[in-house]
Amino acid sequence: MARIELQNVGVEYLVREMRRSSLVSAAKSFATGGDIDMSNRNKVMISALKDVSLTFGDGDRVGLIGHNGAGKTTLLRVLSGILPPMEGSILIQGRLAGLLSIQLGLDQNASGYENIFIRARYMGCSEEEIAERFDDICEFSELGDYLHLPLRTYSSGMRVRLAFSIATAFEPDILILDEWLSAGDATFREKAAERLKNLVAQSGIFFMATHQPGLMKRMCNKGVILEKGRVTFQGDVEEALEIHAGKMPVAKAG
Amino acid sequence: MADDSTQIDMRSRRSMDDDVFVYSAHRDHTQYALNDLKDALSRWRLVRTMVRTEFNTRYKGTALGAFWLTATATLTVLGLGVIYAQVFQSDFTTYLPYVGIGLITWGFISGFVNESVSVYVSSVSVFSQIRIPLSIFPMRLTGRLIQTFFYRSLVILGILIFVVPAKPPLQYAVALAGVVIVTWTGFWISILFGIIGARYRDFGQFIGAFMTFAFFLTPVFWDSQRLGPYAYVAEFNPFFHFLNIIRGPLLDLPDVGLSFAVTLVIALITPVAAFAMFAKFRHRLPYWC
Repeated sequence: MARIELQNVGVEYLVREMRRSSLVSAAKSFATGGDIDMSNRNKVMISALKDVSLTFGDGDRVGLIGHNGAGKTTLLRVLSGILPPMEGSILIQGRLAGLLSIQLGLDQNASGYENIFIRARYMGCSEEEIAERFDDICEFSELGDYLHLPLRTYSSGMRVRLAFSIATAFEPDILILDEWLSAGDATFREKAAERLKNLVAQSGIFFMATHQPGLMKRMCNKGVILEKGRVTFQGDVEEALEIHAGKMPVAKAG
Repeated sequence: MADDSTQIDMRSRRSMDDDVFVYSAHRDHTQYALNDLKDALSRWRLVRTMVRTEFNTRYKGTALGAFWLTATATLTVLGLGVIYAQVFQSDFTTYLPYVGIGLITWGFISGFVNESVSVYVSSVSVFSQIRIPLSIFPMRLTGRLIQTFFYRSLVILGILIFVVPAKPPLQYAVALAGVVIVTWTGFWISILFGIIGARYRDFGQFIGAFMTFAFFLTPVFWDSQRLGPYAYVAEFNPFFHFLNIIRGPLLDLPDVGLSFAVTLVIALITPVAAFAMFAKFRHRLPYWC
């Protein structure tokens, strides 16, 4: 059973001026007795997420909608357990696979076969599991004899295939996608979408952020709208897209 | 042991596909830090993979591979050994082992200090993309430095076999214990300095400058016995003691006992300081890098 709970999650990025982040200036303001002021001067705070509370369970396929800078990627990173929020708490139950980066951990000089092991180890899979899933990954990636060759000979589409095949092979309960799926070719994209649907159908939670309403309608049944770091709507995906489109006419074209 | 039971717990949980990750911003972070360390230890295969990847990338396409480390060390040691034996008017067969083992051991020790400051800054591309225990990066650094030291220490082995008269086996064991103490302290230093280096970028530059200076201040290629009234330069230099617990027993140098005492104290203090820092600032690292 998969479950995600966010309670009053807040994330603030602190942009320090170059002078601020140096030991010398910290020591200086310390010496002048500006200990407390030090935390207030020359700081720019960016609130990426404010008071976000969300609960999702099995069967929830969630599309994140929002303008650039609304906090979509930050929310995905909090959901993945990568970014510990500064406020609030999170609970993630179930095995989580995030497809936030394609290149992560891949060794350019190792073969496709070796990279399956490398990437799967990064994801925290046990050796037995990797061995068990190995053939499935090779087959799904459709890379054939290319798997013998070092990764640096792969095209970017082939890398996506390999990364996607590995990330989805271990039957994650929770799958998180930032929008890079478009990098594969059309046939592979179809196949990938099919696999995602199956995965999500089996049980679990699916998250994705995308600017393509069509893709979101196909993949998701729930929508969350983020605006300046706050959740302004959560509910049915169609409704969410409509609300968002009404506010932003440009999106209608897509 | 308590550790064992948690280990088994985690494994069975994993096989049931029932991982639970809980994080609360205002909870005491000591437990999170402890779990982080345990988790990283249980994933030693990943650490090995990371180290191997780094070596593969660095020595790809070379005929000697990682043995370039051995070749470079041999040339440096021979060059310095011959020339400085002349400069210092020392006997070649006593000076060469001294400077040879000294340089290679110094490289091991200073590697921890020099590279620790960038341990988090340089691996942000990994931990900003995937949930991974943050103590795995100091482990990766430790693994890489051990492997580097291994290839270089083949030169030490050569020196011990061909130049230095054989010592009682116990002395070699003592030197190995020295290697263990350096590794242990180095791991914790890389957590401590890694966090400071991520927050204050000047720190890395400062350490770089300082270590160049420290190299000349430490009796690596000169004999501490010649300091006379300035002996305190060596005595109060922790680097000298870390050097001496490896080189001392191999070459019958003085003060090995004192050096072990000093380094053991440091080896007990650094984990406490490093863990305190890690527990306090681990969750801030993704924001700083």
